Amino acid sequence: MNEKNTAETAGEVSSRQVRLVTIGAAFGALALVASIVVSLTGLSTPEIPQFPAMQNPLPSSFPRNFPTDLRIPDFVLEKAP
Amino acid sequence: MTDDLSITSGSVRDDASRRRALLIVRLLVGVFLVYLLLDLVRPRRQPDEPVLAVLRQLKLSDSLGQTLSIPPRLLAAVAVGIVTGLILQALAANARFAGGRRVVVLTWATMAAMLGPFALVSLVMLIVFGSSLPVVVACAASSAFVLWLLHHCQGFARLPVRMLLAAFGWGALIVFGLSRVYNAMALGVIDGYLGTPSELDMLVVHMGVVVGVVTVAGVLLSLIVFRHRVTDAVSGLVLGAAIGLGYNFTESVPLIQVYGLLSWVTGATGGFQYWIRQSIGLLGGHVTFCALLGAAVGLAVQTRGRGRRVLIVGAGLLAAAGGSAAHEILPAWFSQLARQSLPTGGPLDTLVVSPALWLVVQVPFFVLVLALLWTGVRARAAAAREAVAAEATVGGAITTREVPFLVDPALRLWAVVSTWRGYGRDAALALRRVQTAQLDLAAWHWQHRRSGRDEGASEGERLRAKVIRLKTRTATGPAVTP
Repeated sequence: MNEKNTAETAGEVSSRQVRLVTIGAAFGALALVASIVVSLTGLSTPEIPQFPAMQNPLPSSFPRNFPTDLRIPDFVLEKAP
Repeated sequence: MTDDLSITSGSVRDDASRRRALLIVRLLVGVFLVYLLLDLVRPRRQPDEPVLAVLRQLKLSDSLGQTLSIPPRLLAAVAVGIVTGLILQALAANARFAGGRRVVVLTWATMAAMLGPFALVSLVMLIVFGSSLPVVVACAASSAFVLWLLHHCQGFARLPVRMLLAAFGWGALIVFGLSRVYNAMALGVIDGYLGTPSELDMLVVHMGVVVGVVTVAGVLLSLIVFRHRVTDAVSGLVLGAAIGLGYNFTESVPLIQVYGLLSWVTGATGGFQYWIRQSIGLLGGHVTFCALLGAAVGLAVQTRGRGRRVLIVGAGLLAAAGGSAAHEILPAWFSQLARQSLPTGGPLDTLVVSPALWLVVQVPFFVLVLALLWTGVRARAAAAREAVAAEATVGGAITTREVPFLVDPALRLWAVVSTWRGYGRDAALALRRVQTAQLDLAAWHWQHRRSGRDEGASEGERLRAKVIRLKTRTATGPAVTP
């Protein structure tokens, strides 16, 4: 009798759990459809910022003698082997 | 803790188990070969494309390039692994060569040869990005905490720790490695056949399905290897969650570092990624989706009828794949909507808004997992009462006096604490060991009857002998029976 009750309870638990998994599948299907729609319509694609275009040719006032240019002093070159 | 060595070593000893385990491995490798074929015959969109799109190497910095590309040497290793596996299977099929235990060893060797190279992908990733030890240690610590939670949330008939660790390893090495290789190949295939501008998002959807499928393979292999241990939704749920946790670990280590390197572009730092992936969202994401899928497999195991089983696993797969894809794609859209009215980058955004936007998709799935766990644990408590009483009727290992203590966790704890106060620490620990062995025996009784298999009776005898041995040892010390 006790075993029969436990088996019935186990059956009820299983069917309740199957219902939960089915609800999960419904959520999953909705989520999947929503994801595909959002992807294909580009709603989730971030907007690329507009970069200012560089003028071409460079203006004559544009500096060409940057302080970071590698300028090896003459006395260093004289000592080099 | 039950010693499962005997179960593990004999797990693929019979022909049916061996065939099923090898079938799963062959299917996983077969999917790889299908991708390879599709990649080979894909329409070329540019004149100088390589034969296989997966071999296209990205010209980025070393570590970033290794993250986003599949090295040709790795594909060569996969090919060598497949050929080695075929040779080993041919040897196993030869009755003169493979007799007795040797065929079991050959089966394990075949599985290792065919899947091992895919694990290299994950290992390479962890080695390349593992140079930042604090990140690895921090991720390992949070993963260990969740494994501890998973071990203790099962109630009666817990899975052995080694089984949880094996599931974690499957997720960290095989699921991550295989899904990355599949995805890298799918990128070329999607680009070649569809050429859609949203191919990266399509890839995310593809990734959700792939992770789900390889997780199912992991739970099914656990089912074959550990036999009567996977008997209900709770055992499947815990195994699935451990697999998802392993995947999450291998994914988090490189992502935290890559986001750290690219924070000037993305605006999200490595610390923020750790907060999202390994702190507030640690139980969500792949852990939740794989837990749902594992629970479905556990439920299918106890269901009669092949068609119904396939439906339940299919439902779990749909839930996991849909949730996995949505939790990567939809938060980006929510974020764009929220950015129009909320400031970004401040403490409110970091601590509340961004995590909430990321977690909102996962909440329904997480609630379902909690409901599955709750109903499963309650059913286990009822099963424990019955199994302990049934084992007491056999006699020897569990007496009728001990039954009320064993079925009630509060009484069990009270007995241990009282023994500690009355007889000292050693006596309390000895009582705890006896109780654990008795519960393992009752769990075996329940799982054995539930699995409906005749084999494994020797395991029950071994557990009974263990309880009696522990009781005898305890009886020679101070009296501790409550």
